[in-house]
Amino acid sequence: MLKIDELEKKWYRYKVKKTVLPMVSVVLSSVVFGGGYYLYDSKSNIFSPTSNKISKVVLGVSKEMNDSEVKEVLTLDTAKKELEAVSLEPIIPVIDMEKEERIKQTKKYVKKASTHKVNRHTVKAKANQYLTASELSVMAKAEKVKVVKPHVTKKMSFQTTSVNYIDTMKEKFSRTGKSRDALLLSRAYFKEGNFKEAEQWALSANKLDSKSEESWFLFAKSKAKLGKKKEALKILISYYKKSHTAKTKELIGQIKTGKI
Amino acid sequence: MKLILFIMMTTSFLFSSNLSTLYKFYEKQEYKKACSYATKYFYKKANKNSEKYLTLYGLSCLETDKIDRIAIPMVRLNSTKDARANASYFSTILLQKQLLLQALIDNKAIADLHLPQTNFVLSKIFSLYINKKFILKNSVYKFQDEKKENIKYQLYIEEAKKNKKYMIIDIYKDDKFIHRYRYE
Repeated sequence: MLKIDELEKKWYRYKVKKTVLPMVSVVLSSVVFGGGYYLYDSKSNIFSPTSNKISKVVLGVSKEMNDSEVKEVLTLDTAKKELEAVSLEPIIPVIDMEKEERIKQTKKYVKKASTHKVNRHTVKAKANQYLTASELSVMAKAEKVKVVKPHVTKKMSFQTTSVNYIDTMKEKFSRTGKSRDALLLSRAYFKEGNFKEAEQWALSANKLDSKSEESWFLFAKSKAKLGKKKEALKILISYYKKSHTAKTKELIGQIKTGKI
Repeated sequence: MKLILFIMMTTSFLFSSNLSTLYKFYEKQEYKKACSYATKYFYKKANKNSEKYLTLYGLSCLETDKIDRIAIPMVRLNSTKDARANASYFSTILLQKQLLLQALIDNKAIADLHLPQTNFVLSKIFSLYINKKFILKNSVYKFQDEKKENIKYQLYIEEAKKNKKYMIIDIYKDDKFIHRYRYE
């Protein structure tokens, strides 16, 4: 029995040695390797280009460095160069304008359609009867336009102020014998349409004062009205040769064209 | 059937974007208009989720004085490779601006910093500043563009009312003033 107990104890020790020792060795080796890697990793972080404070120190003692440190500084320089080379540029999107325009148009149509649709349950607001400021300004403008309308001159039919005008003028002329009175009588007869009398009175006025332009004109006009256009033109041309006035020229033109 | 069609039509336009208008502004180099337009319609779900809209939003505001606005589209640009590149671009510029502001106002030492470079003018100035390639005269930093000889920059702080400070970047071409950025 004793032998069996001893054997069991021996077997137990053997089992422990067989299982625990390899486990311990694995744990130890992993600790060693892990620790080593951690140290290496933390070291590489210290010399990384992101930490400016450390990099300065490293750059400052570059002459006294060993081979591994020189390698690290070299990697630092390349990293810096890479960093400097990073240049960003915007990427401008390509836009299908035709498609966008189509969307816009459909939007417009839908909007129009939706505005026409009236819900039967909605109560229509009473139309506003007040005029807005813009409407009032339009009204004012319209009124202004009315005011600005071109003034139509009323044609007045000539009537002598006095029924006895010609008689009184004849009396006056007989008293004074002035060319002006004769001219006024000629004008009055011409306006009445009595061209014969007008011609005679114009002639008598011209005899008294040959320089009076109006006597020449009334004489010629009366002649023309009586159908003696050639004579009228002759008279006016002879007068034009003396006076060279624009009015005479104009009257010649009017008789020639038949306006008078 | 009609009802379904109607619903489909209405919902489709609800999710459509203002992209074409924004792009037209950007194309015409009307950056101020583009920036304010993009800010105005950012609230729409379609625009918020449109990578193109967000990029144009950022690029437009980048060219204006309201550069801080690029932060809004920047944080949402993360779904694709291009979007992430643009987000990095915006964030770099914004960071550089903030650092320059800190350096100029608070005398913060930023000479040892190494940030990515971009083609944007602020980024160029940042790079010239940290490399100390400037002439300092009367609190005005004068820079010479490294690639273009006829381009010069001036960087300084302008003090406005209520102790408000602005960072000014003036660009000169052939010694003629051509553009000013005024950052808060």
